[in-house]
Amino acid sequence: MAAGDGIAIEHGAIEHGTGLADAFARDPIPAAAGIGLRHTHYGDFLTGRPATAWIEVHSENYLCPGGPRLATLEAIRRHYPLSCHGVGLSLGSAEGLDTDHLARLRALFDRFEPGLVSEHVSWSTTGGDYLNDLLPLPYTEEALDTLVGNIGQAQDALSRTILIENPSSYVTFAESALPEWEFCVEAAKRSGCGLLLDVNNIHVSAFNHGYDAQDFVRAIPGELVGEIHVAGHADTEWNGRPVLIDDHGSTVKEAVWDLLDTALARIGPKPVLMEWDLDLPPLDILLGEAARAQAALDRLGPEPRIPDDVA
Amino acid sequence: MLPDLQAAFRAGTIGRDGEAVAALSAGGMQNGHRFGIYRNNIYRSLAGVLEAAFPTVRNLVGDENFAVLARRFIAAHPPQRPQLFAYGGDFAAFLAGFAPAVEELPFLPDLARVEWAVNEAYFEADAETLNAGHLAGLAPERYAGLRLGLHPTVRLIESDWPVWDLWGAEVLPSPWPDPRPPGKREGGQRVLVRRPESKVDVVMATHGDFAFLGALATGDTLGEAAAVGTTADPEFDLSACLAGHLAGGTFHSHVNVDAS
Repeated sequence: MAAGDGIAIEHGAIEHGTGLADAFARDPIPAAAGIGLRHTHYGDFLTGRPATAWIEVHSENYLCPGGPRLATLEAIRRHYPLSCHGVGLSLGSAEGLDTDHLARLRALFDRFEPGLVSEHVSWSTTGGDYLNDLLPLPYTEEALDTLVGNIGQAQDALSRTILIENPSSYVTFAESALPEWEFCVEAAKRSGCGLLLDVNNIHVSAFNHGYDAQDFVRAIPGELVGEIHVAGHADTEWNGRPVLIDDHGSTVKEAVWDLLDTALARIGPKPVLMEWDLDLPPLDILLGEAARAQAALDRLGPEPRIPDDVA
Repeated sequence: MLPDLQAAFRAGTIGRDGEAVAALSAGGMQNGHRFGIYRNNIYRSLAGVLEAAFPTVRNLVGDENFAVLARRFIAAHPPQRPQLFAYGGDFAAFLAGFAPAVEELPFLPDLARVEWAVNEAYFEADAETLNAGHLAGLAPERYAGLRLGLHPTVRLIESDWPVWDLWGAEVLPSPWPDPRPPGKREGGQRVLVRRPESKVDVVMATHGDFAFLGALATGDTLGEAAAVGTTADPEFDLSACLAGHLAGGTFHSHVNVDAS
């Protein structure tokens, strides 16, 4: 009884998971406030239409073959422009990128057609182990070459221009030859990618490493920036000494709102994302923070942005 | 050099190697007193992934013991790919090799297998299930030649322990029965996990039913698999079993029938 002499029963079943693959247009992300979509708030989005201009998800949360998570994103995606923010590509890895991971990302993006795709100026993978944190790079020519090469490989594999986000960090390296802002800008210029300016990360790193956050913002060419992030951080101690920890677990601190105003005044209106990942609050709290980001955008008005040499 | 720095970071975080951190500091890492923030981020986030995937194991061993198990597991088996829904597949085997856990709670590895099967079923590829209507036009004499494929979300777990009873438990049953003599099957349970649509089912299977599904999984025809089920359990009832699985969504919609 070889399988070859069998017949298939036809019953007109439709394969799941592929029916809507071509249904999404690549909606651009507007220069308005959006929020990160997390599992906690699926119910709000499935039963209503929360007032946010766009949503952003962590790409790696949706690389599963199937199941309710993907089905939920597909249902929500119909109503909102989507940005896909990666946390696992490890663009700063000396050992290069995981091509299987790139292929899975490509399939995800082909299916959901995000208006923006972003990653981080950091690394997570070494010796094949994925360390599940956004780890710091030394800002050297060697690291810049690695990062630029990996961004190029990613953009080729994804057939997209990506944005890279400035990291928050807790340690630095004496061998760094460039300030962080210069390193990020150089990486973008050399690879042809854009920047995701995280003003919370700027504030956190500036405090932790004793530089002026305004210096960072002033050094960023506005035309490179495709998106801005705001988030909460923890003002705490580590080993008895003060440190800011970028935990995305609270409302945005006033200093970060101020930095957002500075950045927007300099570079003009951009999509602004309110991120919250730890101890998620009711959706209304998150939408309230996004409304504050929108108010900052609205305050910009029609005036031209401040030129670089005046700031 | 960047490869050395990254290897040292791995040793200092996942590997908890203090000398690696000291070497990083000696090599110019500034604010090295904060290095532990990275180790903490990595361990806490990965422990959270394991807590979400193995809630019953955690309930039964307690939060403190689970934290120890998670820490040892993460150190020995860090993720190999950046998709955390796939992290934890080795946890059951790790538990089986961790003597302090299995001596006290010998069912833990099998319970972890059930929880991992639930996790896998949840994220597995979607597929249409076979229902009775799909077979309505089939002549009775052709049933024996049916090759029913299991739905891609189906997982089959056999245990010497009552893992179906234990799955989802908040606390250890009291009194917990003494470990049975090795090799004795009384008290053991067989579990079928499946996700026909959005919800994962965890079903207790009879011995005959379990053998029947196992035979189908290896490619046996319905007739052959029914014989396997009857051998395992003389009271195996094919028609009741088939009706249950068609209603429950155990089979994949794509079916072949051998020519008679």
